[in-house]
Amino acid sequence: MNRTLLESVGRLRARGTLTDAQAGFFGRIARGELVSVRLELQIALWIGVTLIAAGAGTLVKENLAHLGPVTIGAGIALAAALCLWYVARAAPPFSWGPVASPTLAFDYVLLLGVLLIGTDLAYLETQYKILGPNWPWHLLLLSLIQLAFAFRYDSRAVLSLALASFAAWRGVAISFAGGALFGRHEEAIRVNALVVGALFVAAGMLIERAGRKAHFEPAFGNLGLLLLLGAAVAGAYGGYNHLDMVWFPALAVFSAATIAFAYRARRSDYFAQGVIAAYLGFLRLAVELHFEVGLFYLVSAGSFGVLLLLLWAHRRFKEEP
Amino acid sequence: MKQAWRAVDRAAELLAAARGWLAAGLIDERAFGAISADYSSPGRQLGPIWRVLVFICVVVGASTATTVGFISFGVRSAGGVGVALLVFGVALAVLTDIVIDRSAFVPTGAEAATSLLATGYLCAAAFVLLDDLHLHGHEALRLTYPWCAVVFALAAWRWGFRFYAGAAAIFVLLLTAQVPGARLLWIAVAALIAAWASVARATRELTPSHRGGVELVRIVALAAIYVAINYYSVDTGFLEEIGRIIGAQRHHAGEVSLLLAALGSALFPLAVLAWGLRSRDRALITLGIVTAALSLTTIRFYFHIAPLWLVLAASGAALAVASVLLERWLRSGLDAERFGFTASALYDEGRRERLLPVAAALAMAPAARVMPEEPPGVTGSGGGFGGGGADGSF
Repeated sequence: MNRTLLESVGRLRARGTLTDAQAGFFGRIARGELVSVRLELQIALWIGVTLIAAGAGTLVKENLAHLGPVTIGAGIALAAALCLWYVARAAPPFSWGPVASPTLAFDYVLLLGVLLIGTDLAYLETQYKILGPNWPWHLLLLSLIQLAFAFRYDSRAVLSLALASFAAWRGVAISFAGGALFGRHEEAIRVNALVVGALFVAAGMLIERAGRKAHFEPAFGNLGLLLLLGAAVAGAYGGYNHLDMVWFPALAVFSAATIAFAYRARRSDYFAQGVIAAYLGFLRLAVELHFEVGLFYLVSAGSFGVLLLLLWAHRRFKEEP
Repeated sequence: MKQAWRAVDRAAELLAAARGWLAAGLIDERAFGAISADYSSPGRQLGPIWRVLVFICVVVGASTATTVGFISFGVRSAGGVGVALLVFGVALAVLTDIVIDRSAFVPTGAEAATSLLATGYLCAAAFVLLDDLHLHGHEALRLTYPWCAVVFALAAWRWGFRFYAGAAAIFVLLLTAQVPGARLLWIAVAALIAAWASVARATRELTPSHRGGVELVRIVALAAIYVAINYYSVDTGFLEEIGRIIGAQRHHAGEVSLLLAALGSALFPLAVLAWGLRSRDRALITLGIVTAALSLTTIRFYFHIAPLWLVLAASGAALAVASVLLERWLRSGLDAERFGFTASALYDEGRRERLLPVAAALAMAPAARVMPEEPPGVTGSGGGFGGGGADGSF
């Protein structure tokens, strides 16, 4: 029982802020007589979908020799079709605005269907070599299919997957797994990440301006900035013993532009990314200056300087706590 | 915790609840506005992104300032470092009090950072000072663990951070693992902690932060009991290994112990789940489900009942179908609830609802292709066969 909440509900009822019905309902919640398991159900769905997709991947890996390619390909395609049939049946009509999911499972079934399509496509490409040496293009095809599903069924999850597949086509992992961007020889990946990031940011601006699925803009913008600033940070740190004089100025320009834009547009999420990138750039510069003991003074003073800047800048942003 | 902090803590809980009720459509803007006006804290509110930024700045700034302190005062010896850590730890604890008391922003993230560094320094000081006194290994750990437990417990009590309460419980349990024949003592101590936390939670009037801390302590203690009775843990002597002196003989479990462990692995998750359902306690329900999954994994480890892909796909399908059926069953009840459970949003589930599928999708994103420009032996992040794509080879 949550006594504090119960007492507060009682006080709010006495003041007339809450109606009798509301106070009764919230009183039940505070006494623990009514509990929502919505989050737990969602987590179970998430784990369920992940396990099924992992099972499909393992099936393909382990049974290439035992089962024929047609059996495996058709089996996974059938499972994907079943998921998408459910989605098509349950989906509300298309709209350029936000559309609420009709059921709790809707997003996850759609995600599973799209993941199974990806598995099947990759498997068939590996088996039949349809694209030959240009096999990575299947990632672009997959990305476009996922993008179409994301727009039709208004799914941020599938949109994120589509953007990740597009980045993967250009050799960039959204998760930065293995720190691939940071290697000495990963110049090409960093340039790709920069271009893909800029493309995502531009696409986000475009859909927002056009008013077509404008609520997708944060997904485009945040992933875009993550790639753009991530590539610049990786470039600035990738030179190992010397400061890279192309990437470091690029990092300074991109982070300053991001901070300025976020400040103007009052976007906390973008502002945070810009500040973190600029801060990492500052640390890289501090190391380069070889101040020895002075380095610690510089980093300490710089950190508290950024802190003051944050507290000052925060006044402009309106954000839900 | 000071009286004024308790009031702020309670107001913050009510405001968070009201925000959740508004998001779930249970109250209107007018009611929310009235609650906000009555219960808003005097300071400005910092959102989660800002708090994280402030936290990072303070952690980096304060830890480098500590290094500057070491260098400036010429602290070199282990004893000097230990004493300096004690002094810095106490200073940061005082600073935490000042930040909570005087800051214009509530909460800021700075108090979390200074308190974390304070507890970290105070714990590290014990390690360093004991090392300076030539106490090593288990001798040192038997003194350090209770010290750390006290430091974290005091931090949880003073500032209300629930993480510290959980850490204190873990250090108490780690101390029991240092004693020969630790498993029984570990179970007994964990059971006592769980019982204390359950009673305290039910009978004492706690602030929201302290209640959260006590809840975490209870879950840590129950999880510790499961760790002690799990078949794999008993079979491999996991707990005995923690306290084993280097060179000493490894522990081997007897048949009776293994039989009891098998029974415990099967019954404990069911008991916790039943307890959770009966008391409508989400944390216990979650713990019951997680421990049940771990017990099933343990069975799979010892008995290969089916191929891995089938186990993964079948358990995933079972979990997903069970969730969908349970949701429908709850929704079809009177007022969309059954036995005090509902699948409707009561707080801020909606916000997490938007983030969870995105996290799931990104976790299953295809691996990036390996760029052809890379020299031999160097690879990008491409690699395995993912849920949504492949890198060209299985």
